[in-house]
Amino acid sequence: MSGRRVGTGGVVRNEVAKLRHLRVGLVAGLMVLGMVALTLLSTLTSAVFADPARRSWDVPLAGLSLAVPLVCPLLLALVASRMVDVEHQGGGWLLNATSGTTPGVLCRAKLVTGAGVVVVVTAVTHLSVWALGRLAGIDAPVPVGLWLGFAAAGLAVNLVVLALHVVLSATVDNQLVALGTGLLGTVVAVFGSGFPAWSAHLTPWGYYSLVAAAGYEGQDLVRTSPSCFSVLVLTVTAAALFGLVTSRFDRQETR
Amino acid sequence: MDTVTTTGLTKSYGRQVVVQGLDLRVPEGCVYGFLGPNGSGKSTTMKMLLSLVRPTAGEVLVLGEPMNRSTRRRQLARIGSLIESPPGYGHLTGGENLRLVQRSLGLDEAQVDRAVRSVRLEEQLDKKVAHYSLGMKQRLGIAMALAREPRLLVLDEPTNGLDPAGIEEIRELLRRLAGRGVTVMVSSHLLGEVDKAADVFGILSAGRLLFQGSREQLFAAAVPDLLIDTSDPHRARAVLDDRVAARVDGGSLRIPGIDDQGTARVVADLVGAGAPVYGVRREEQSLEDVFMDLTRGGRL
Amino acid sequence: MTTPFSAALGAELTKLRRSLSWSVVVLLPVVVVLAGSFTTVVSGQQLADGWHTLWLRSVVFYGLLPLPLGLGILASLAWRPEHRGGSWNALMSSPVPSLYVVLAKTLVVALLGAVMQLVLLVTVVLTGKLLFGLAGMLPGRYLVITVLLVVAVLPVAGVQSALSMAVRSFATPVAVALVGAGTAAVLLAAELGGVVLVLPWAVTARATQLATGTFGDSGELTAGGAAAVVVAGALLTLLAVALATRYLERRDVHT
Repeated sequence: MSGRRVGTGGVVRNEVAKLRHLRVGLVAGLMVLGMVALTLLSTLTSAVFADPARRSWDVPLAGLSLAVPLVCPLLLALVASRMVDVEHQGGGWLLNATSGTTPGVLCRAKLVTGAGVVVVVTAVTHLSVWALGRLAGIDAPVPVGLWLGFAAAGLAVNLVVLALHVVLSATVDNQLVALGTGLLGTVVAVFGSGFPAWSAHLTPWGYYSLVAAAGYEGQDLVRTSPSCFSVLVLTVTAAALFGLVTSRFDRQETR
Repeated sequence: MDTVTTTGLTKSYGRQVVVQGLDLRVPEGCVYGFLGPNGSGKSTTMKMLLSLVRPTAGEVLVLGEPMNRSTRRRQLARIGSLIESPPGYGHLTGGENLRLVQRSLGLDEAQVDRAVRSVRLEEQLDKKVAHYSLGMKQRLGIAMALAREPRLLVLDEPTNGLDPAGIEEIRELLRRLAGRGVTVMVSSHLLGEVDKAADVFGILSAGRLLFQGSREQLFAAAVPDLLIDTSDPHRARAVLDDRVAARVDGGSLRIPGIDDQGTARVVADLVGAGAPVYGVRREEQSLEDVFMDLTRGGRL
Repeated sequence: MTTPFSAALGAELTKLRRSLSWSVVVLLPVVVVLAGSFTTVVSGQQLADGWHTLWLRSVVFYGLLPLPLGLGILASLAWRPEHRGGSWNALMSSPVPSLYVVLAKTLVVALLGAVMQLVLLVTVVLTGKLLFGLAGMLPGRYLVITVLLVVAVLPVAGVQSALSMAVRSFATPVAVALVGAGTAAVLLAAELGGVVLVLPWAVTARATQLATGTFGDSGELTAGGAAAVVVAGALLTLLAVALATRYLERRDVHT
């Protein structure tokens, strides 16, 4: 064995290896299935969709805009909690620290790994909705720009929430806190669309309502444009905070 | 009367046989040392005695009554146990944990106090169990098992991870309990840890019982090597040559596994051939040697 | 030495000390009611039908997602201490009958669920009086519904407790709760009638919909609707407890 420190790539590869048996794939599948099913359901039951002449992409986009905040907060909490909990249980923090991987590095590697999962989930979900929309007979041209913006902004919010949960699970060795926060986040995310814009900016979960591509105002279906700037500010702030917190982990005594 | 009797006790997981055909006899009021290397099936056997695990075949009698899924809850009221890692809820204090046991078993205050005193845990009851040392956790686990004033106490590796003083304390406790008439079955992978406390031994290796009986029987079962002191061991070896497996060991001739008649014959032969014999003795053997001998070779 | 059942129940309550279970019990209903009220205030609308509208906005979503997930988290929390250290061996080596073990855990989870309903009721009343200045008191039928809700919590408590008993993981049963609650919501939305009540999560959700006029409810509190919830709830709870007890009696203790 060489005395060299394990490179970042090695740490991430280790994280991917740890994903085995954690059923993170199953949770990811559940996320895709949940979001696609909810979108499909809200589309097929929509009064707007019932009229073939008015069938537009706005209907599934509105459905997906609601499905994301319903499904993601809790399941992201679950993904992060499962990834981090193994370190609490098996004395993993200490084990990794003695081989040169500090807790902060470990958390960053976990975020990168989890982010990979979320990227795949996002891509599969959006592509599935598009394919099912085509199958359901939506012939209108795809609003590519809007959709890409929605997908990218939604992905960014999900990553921020994931990062928050990685830090939370690493700090508190009690899954109640992680899952309870995920559950409260779901409530905030779902009601977020009814909040005024300023208050939606206050918590990461509020941003789910800011990235919506379409939604219902009363009975009317309206297209909204995702607040990309707000999400950008959130992402940069979150990245800075995550870097700060994880580097503090590195300076702390090993737990 | 035997407190625990098993007949043909067997447990297999799929094709893997973990415990095979055990016939245990644990006499009343003794300390029974249940010995064997790690992974030899001690924990599984003890779990079957408590009906935590169902035997694939065979039967368990505890205190004269069958122990199985339909009788175990009644039986368990008379059995105290500590299996694998010590119990105790980390977020509660030692005292709170004991109150849980007291309430759920319907015990009175005095019973719990006695149990606490016998493991000397009085001073640590207000501490959260999560902050206990391993030794304190073991003692709390034993107190929980003792509080119900059991007739049989089953302890799985209670000395694991303890320091020598802690081990001595447990040994002393076991002797005291046996003195009060409690039958104690205690397992260990280290003979030295229960050696002085136990009167009866059961030795398990790879799921089979290699030996069961008293300390004297254990010594007798493993015949110590015969040492013949002679002024010319090489010549003596040449005399015996093919008939016995002898080898030169310093100034003596060492012959393993030879009985008394064999010994007499060998001495007669040596003297007949004119080899000067000035000493014939059995090698001093520690229980440790016997144990290692039995478990390594898997014989008997 | 016979063990009274009350002792087993008392022991369970002791184990919940310092477990933070109150945070779910209190925070979840309060946050849901406040989030619903906040969106109402922000929209500038009044509560169209006073107490009825406030109740509907507070309780229907709560019953679909937060309540079953909250119960799932509480069940995992109640079983968590047993999955650590040598507790399983100790629990199963005590003369306390398996039925008592299962029943005590289920009732403790249900008890926390019942307190949640009371918190919900109090929060709705306080919001109505203090935030909206509603005249009079919350109509009596909502008190009846709260009592029904306390009963309707039982089947979910039973099933989630059984899952958390059988599965060591904290998060997995909560994920099952999410799938169960999601399925129940979809089936309730499809307005299939009474058959939906074979799903425990649907019983709880249905109880929150009583007298709201949502999900095919008549808008009136009928004896038939109430009886359906109580009977289905009782049967499912008995079934869950019976199966869990059987499982506990038969299986080998694993560590």
